[in-house]
Amino acid sequence: MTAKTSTITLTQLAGLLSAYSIGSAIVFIPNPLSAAAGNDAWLSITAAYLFGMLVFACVLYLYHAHNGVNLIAYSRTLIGKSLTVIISIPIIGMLFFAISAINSSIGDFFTSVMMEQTPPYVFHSIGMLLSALTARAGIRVAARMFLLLLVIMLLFSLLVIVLAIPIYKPGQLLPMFDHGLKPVLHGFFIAAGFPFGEICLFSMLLPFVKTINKQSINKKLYYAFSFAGLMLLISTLSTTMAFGPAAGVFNYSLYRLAVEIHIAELFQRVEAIIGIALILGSYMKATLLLMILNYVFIELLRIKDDKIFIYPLALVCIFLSLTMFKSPADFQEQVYLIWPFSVLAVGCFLVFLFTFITWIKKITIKE
Amino acid sequence: MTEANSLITKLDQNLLVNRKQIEQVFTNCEDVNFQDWQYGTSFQYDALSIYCASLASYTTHLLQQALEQVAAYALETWESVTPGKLSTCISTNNTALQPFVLLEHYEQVYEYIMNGYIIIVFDQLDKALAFESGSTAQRQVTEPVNEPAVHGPREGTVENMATNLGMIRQRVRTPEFKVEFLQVGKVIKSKIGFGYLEHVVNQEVLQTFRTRIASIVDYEVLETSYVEDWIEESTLTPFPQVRYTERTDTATAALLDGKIIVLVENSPMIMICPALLVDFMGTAEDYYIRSVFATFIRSLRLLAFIIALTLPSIYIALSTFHPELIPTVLLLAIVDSREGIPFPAFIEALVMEISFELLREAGIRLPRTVGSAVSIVGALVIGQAAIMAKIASPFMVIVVALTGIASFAIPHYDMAIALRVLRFPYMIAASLLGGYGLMVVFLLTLLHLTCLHSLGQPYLSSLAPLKIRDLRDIFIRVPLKQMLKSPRNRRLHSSSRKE
Repeated sequence: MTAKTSTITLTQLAGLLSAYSIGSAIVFIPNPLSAAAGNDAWLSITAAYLFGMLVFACVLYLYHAHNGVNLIAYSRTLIGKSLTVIISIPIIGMLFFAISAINSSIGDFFTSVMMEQTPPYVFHSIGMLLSALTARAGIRVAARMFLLLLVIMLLFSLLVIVLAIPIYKPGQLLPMFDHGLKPVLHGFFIAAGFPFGEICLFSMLLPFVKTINKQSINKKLYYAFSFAGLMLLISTLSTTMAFGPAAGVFNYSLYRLAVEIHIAELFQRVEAIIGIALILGSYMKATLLLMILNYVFIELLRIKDDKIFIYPLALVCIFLSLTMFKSPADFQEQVYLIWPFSVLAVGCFLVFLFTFITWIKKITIKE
Repeated sequence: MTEANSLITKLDQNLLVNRKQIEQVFTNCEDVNFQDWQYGTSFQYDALSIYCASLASYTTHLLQQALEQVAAYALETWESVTPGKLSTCISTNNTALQPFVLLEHYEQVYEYIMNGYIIIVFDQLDKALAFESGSTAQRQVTEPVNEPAVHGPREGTVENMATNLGMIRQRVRTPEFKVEFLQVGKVIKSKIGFGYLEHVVNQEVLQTFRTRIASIVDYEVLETSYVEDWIEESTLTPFPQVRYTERTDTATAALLDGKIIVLVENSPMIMICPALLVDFMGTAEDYYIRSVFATFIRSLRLLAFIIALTLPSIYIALSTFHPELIPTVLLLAIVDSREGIPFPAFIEALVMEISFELLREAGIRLPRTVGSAVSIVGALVIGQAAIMAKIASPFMVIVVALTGIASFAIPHYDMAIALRVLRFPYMIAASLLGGYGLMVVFLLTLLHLTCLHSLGQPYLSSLAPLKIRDLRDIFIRVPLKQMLKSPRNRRLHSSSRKE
């Protein structure tokens, strides 16, 4: 890995962070949240965002405290080589799961909504191939490209959200805590895992930024993360305002929102642009996760050629995404129940643990 | 004497030896003339002038002029000049002999003859004088054919490099404008010139350019576009990484932007490199018209870009895979017009696109008088007949025609060709996977563009890596006052501030 081919600017890193956090979540997240928390979904997502900020603060703290190395590298210094190997097994498993889940979600979307007769493996393999090609082109290319795609994706999503203004009924946000605190906590659990808690894995990409001072890195990345949180909040708010508690029934809520848009004879049938936003979001997130997975392997095995694992890993992910989910219901359960749990229990736990150890070590050294 | 030896052989004292050697080299070159002269008080000394009649316009007083110069040096009359005086004069004071060039080797003599000079060789003198006398047929400076403009200067480049450089120099009157020449090829010996503004050009780019162009030296270069293959980073891409112009004001603007311009003798095309994708969105005239209008035109061009690339494939995707996305009334109209057509939309589009491409190609090569006949037969008769015969639907004809018009609206021919080529994979993808396929090829194209570099600069610069500040001169054009206040090229800005 040469420094020249793999450093990106801070703005690009912030773009990657936003793309990573928003990703496909902007289309997917309102539905399970509304199913869990009803019209309080936006409260759940706000709480989850705050939790995400906490995790991210730890991630950044660890990044600065260990002189800008990645998760695996500081894990090695903190808990030793063999333990690092052990903890990286669930991390690798999580990454495999995440990539395959994103990949199959896009297949599900197309086979269930737009192109019912096309077999899902077509979407799975093409989508993964695209991600693998991009990951292979390197983080620099991805960073440049994703900033552009992020703008397109957000413009399209915002366009739909703005055009849907006539169908919003703000009254549907009330009453708050209709069914007590439990549904909100359930929603929090989902959103804290997907997408906010996933930020713990992003620490693998932080070392690629050109080294600038600590404050500016923190400031810009917090902005980027908050921006992602805001976008997801807007998306959740607008679907709740449009459909009320029914938002939990409609899969791909933003898509449903677009279907409902009908302004004069001019703006109708705009759902295709949500399809585009969804493809872009999933593609970016899958690519970034594939890169992270690749770097985990590279860092663990200390291999010089940093692109060698991308194609094999992508192939494994294609197979996994074809076989992992038996049905859409199975997908729902695994992604919105098991996944948030593993993110919180493995990813976030590790980050908190490492932060704690680093903190203790710092204190003891000072004394 | 072999040719290899002649490369380093000096001219002989004896005129006859010289004449024999030169005549031998120019055997069967019947346009090379040898003219004998005598001079001196009783015409006792011999001299010989040699010139290529097809390159040089011969004037008779050259010998006298040369002798007069020598005589003036020796304060005598020109008739009394002797080979001895000639020799001393040349060896002691040859700078006074301007505008003559002093030649010492045979190889120089051949070269100067072939460059349209008239050579005079004197007996008892191992040197020759060369007089410039170029007078080949030259096209006049006229309005550029390929880049006409309503506003702005009217002069276009010609086949003479010196004239072209002169026109650029007239605009860029600064020693910072550097022009370097190199001679390439063994037979044709084309002259390549490249220019740049020293304080504005990116030194890394210039260095890359120098290394790449140095490798062209052994090859015969007929036209500026030959150089492209040596300059560009990736040859197997449809996207052009350099651009061409016939306008000297465009070349000047490019220089100010920190680009390098390349000229080749006997070609009117000026190559501008490195070219980035966004460079292909603008023309020189964008800066000569009102900024609101220029912005409108820029957005039209962006639309043209998208239409030229994707319209047929979008039509295929919508009509084959996603009819639900078309508003109902329009959908009914399309279904109605497609009734009875035996082909799927893809084949229909392919047939129409290919016939359109054929028509376009036929139109370019034909003499102008026949050209209009082709368009009448091709577009009107066949188009009408195709619809009547139910081979294509009127909708498809509109789509193809619109695509064609859009590709004409792209100001740079090379970019329009790239889009023409790319349109077909887009159509295939749309016919196989509808909108998803379209997205996939779009992302692949974007990935390719992001990986592409032109002389080390990212091809998508200003977009990826994104520079918000530069966007004011890409899809829109902000008023010139603001643009000139802080120019796009920051080096220009910083250097002018220093001053």
